[in-house]
Amino acid sequence: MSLTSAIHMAGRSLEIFSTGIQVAGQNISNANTPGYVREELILRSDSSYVKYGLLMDTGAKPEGIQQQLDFYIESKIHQANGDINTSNGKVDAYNQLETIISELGEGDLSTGMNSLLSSLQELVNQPESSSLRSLVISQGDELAQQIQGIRLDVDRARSNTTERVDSLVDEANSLIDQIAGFNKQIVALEAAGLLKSDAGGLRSERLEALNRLSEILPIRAVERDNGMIDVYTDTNVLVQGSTLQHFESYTEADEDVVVNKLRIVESGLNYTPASGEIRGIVEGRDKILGGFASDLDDFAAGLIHTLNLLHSQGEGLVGYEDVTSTYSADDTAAALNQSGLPFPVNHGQFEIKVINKSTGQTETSVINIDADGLNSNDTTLAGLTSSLNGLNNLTATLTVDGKLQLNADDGYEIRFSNDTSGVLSAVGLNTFYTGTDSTNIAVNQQLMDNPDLLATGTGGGSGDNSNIIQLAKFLETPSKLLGGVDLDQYYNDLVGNVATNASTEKALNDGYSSFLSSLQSQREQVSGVSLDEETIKILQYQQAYQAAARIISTADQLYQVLLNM
Amino acid sequence: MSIGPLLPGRIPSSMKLSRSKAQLSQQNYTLQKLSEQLTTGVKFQLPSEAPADAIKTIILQKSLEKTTQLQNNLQTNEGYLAATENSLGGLSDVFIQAKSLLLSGIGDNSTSAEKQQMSEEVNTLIKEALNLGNAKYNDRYLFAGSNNRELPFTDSNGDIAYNGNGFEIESYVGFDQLLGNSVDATRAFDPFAMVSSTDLNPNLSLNTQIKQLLGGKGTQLGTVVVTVDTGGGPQTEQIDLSGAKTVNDLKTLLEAPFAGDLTVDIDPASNNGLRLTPSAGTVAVSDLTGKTVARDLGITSAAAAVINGGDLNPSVSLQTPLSSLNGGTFPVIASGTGIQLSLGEKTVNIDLSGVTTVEDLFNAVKATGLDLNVGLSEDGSGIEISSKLSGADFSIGEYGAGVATALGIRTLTGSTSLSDLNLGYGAHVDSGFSLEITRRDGSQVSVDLSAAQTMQDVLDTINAVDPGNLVASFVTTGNGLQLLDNSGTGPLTVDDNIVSEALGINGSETGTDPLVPLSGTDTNPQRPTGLFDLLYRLRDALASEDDIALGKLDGLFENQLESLNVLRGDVGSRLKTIDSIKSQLDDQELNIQENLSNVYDVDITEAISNFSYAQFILQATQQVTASTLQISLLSYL
Repeated sequence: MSLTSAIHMAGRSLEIFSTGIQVAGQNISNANTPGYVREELILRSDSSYVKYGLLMDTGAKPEGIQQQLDFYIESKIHQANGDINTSNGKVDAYNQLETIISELGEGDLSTGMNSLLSSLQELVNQPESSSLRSLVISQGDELAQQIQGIRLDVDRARSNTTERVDSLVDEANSLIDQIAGFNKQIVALEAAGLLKSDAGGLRSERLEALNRLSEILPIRAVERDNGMIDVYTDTNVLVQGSTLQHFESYTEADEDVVVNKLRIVESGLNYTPASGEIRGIVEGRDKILGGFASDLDDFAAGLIHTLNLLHSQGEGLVGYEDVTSTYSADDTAAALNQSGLPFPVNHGQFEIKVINKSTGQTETSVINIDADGLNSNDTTLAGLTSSLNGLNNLTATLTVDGKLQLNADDGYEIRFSNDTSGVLSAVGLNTFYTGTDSTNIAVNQQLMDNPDLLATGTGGGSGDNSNIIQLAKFLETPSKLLGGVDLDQYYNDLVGNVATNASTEKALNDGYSSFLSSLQSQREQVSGVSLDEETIKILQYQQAYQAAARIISTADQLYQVLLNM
Repeated sequence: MSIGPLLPGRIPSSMKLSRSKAQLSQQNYTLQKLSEQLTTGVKFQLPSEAPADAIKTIILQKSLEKTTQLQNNLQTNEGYLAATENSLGGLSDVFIQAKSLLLSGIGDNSTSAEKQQMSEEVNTLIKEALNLGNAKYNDRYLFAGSNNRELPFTDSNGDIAYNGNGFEIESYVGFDQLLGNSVDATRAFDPFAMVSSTDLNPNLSLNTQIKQLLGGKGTQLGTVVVTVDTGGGPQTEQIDLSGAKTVNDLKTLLEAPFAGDLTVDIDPASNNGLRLTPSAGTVAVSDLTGKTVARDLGITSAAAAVINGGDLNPSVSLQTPLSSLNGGTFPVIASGTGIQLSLGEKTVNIDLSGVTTVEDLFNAVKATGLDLNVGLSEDGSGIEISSKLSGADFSIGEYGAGVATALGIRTLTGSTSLSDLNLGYGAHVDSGFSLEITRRDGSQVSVDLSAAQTMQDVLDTINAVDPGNLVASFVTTGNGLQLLDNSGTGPLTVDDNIVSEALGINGSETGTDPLVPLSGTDTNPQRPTGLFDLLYRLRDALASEDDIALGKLDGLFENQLESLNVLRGDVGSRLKTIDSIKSQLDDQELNIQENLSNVYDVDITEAISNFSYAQFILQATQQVTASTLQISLLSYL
């Protein structure tokens, strides 16, 4: 009996050791499979029995094939995946933004501003030069186009994220379905399993799917006793048994760009991921690029308002025969500051001159603008129109779209000056720029058509540079719209903030990357395949196999001895 | 990018591979980065690579661009000023030549024929001066001021009209420093004969702007403390007046907190200050400690039934009504009355009866088409009318009703000094001659004017002869003296002599009506005192061989030459300033470029050694990686 049992025991050992070699072979063949978790054959001593008063062991028994996985490290990797991918999206947005701004290059905005400044200074030097007058206008136009161009690039970069977000949403939905599918298969396969990790290949694939999902969205994965994994994002269930939830994107307008956002299909609830690739893209799109677009709008508004305030104080070589304000009031009967005009009006006054072009005779009128909020008599656009219409040789009307239109009688022209109220720049009369932000800033078409309207002086003739001297200080003129900061400083801060924030984000990204790399190393150390190790195992199983075979052969010889007796 | 630390434990093959890949990738990145630095010559491409340095770079680049522009400005300015200096040098030569002719022409230094010849030479000098005055450089008439679209000096019926102005074109030579690149041509040519009004003292009105107060200096507004006690206890308010732009704004702001208990208006007693009247009880106004807002507005007062503010002395503006001038005593202008303007051969009577504001007055003057400038005086106290013609007499006289006198612009008035008459040659009342008058009753009167200093003295002295019967006054239309005598019906005659001629009252009124005056002529026409007018006067004096005039001109030429030399000195000093700023800017530019290079440019030596080192490290990494990855236990099976 003992020989037979020895043969049986050795025979089982042969199976066990060949299984061991098979497991090692499986590991070796997956040595380069991404996300593969190495497996190990787990053995234990088989049960014992008593014979002739002796307790006899019955050899080894396979416990199962076990994945070598630390799920705690996996969950840490999931979190780190979220952080690094959020950061990647932001770094990507900063890279795009820095490339768009291109501040250290030749065609940057600060060079554009300085070019306008230079042209203004040249005109200060030689106010009588008509070519320099045109140069100021073309440099102003170039700056406006540069600002619009930057804004367009930023908007394009933001729009381009739409497809990326959509494809990530599709991928996340597909991964959710895959995980649910793997769950079912694993549960079915491992129903009679020993170590609850027998379905190694499927588990590796599921792990890989989870890993990818954690790059896209923040997830929390919890494994149940039956081998199934539940997946949550924030407080939302993605996979829980047979319950699945998916995402879809919807669009809305933000900073003049149509952007897509997420909601959960099944519940209809809006969803903003706290980390992950989508979060990074959305933050890059809305906070970094969108934030810059908003700051650029403020800068453009500051530029428009500053230049217009300065420009509206002066006179060109000719006056206006007909002029219509460039801005509209929504409510012409409301006080100017409540009428929907884009720029503020102060309590003050301005002067308007109606000049007989042939005799030079001038009627200068001081128009008071009441904006003190007292006595309920603040000036309205309708009231202002009426005051102006009362002047000789001038007709003032309100257009249907809430603009102020002035028409001088034949042979007369209109000039403006000494505006302490800012009303001219608020309604857009005698201004350099039109528009209100970075999407629509442009040189006033009337100046483009007739550069002689450029307000270089205060009525002193072609060599009068008294107003252009002030205009040439536009970069250093503090702007109320910019919180009392001048354009130069605001732009420095704008670009400086982008540089500093981008640098900070890149440093954070390095940190996240290093942390993830460290976690991945730890994972590799636990779950990665070592060819040397597997080779040793093969040698080990080979030798054990040879030993077991020798037991059979020895037992066989012993049987032969017995049979030949 | 950094590779995580190598922890003790298993080193699987996949880990060896991924770490090797990361190491190689890192080394390649470093090498590529250094290679880019070497090829571009700059340390970073994106500001985020070195934010602090990038911000410095951006600011330095902007400073460099601004510095370059300032250097351009200086070059442009230098060109204009050098050309100006050149022309002023030419003008100086003209002065010297004129002076030489003048000295040669006095007395017996030259014959009559020579004097006529010299008079012709002055004409040549006038042409030369005209060319210099119209000098052009880089499309700019150097002496046109801001009116560059027409020749500065043009011939106007034998006189010279100056079409420019005294505007000095300034340009930036420093970040906040302006320097004129043109000169105030009026300093070189003195081409205007300016008549300035007296202080016209307009009334205060609700429309008066704050900047017009205190003689046009304005006042810094802030918070005042106003207490009104109508009997129910004091209500004290701190009122911020800083948003006020007009006197009406002051009224609105001061009245607002008291809901009808305080009325602010223009004090009708003075018409030049504010009045604060409570509905009942008292009002008090004070300043916050250390402030002078209420004081400057003249309304500081202890509790009083009414506060009558002090004189706020508003300046004249274009919109000031004529009726509010002279403290509101300006006469109503009757139809057919106004002022008379006389320029050269032209005399225009302007009917000002329809004129309401100061600007209307200016427009009426402009409408005459005479070569005149009009404007508010620089200190805002009145108005100025100036002739642009050199060689032509300019005077402002009455047209009926004393308007010119009320405006303070009549060129011959009681306060006119006798020494100023006749283009500064004066009226020599102390020459021993008296005013010899043959009255209408045939009696002779000899009026000794030797003590008279002004025209008013002359009038007073004559009027003292036979008060009420022999009456001297100014003509009612134009300028000049007139005599009325009701002693008879015979002719009224003033003998020709040096005094009567100088006073312009010589001659005879031969009618029999005692109400018809003997009218004199204008003896105080205004002329520019500049080069062209002096040249005209020199030409005429040489032609008429008038030694007295020539003698007088000598001093005037001296004065003008001195002004010209001061201007030349000014231009020279500006050129010197430009030189000095240029040198400062060169240093500054060098400094900026050095700083820029320090923060932005690659240190080539350092970059090359770093590159070699990185290359060496990469090679080493490649070698080690290749060796490590080749080692396997499988090789020994």
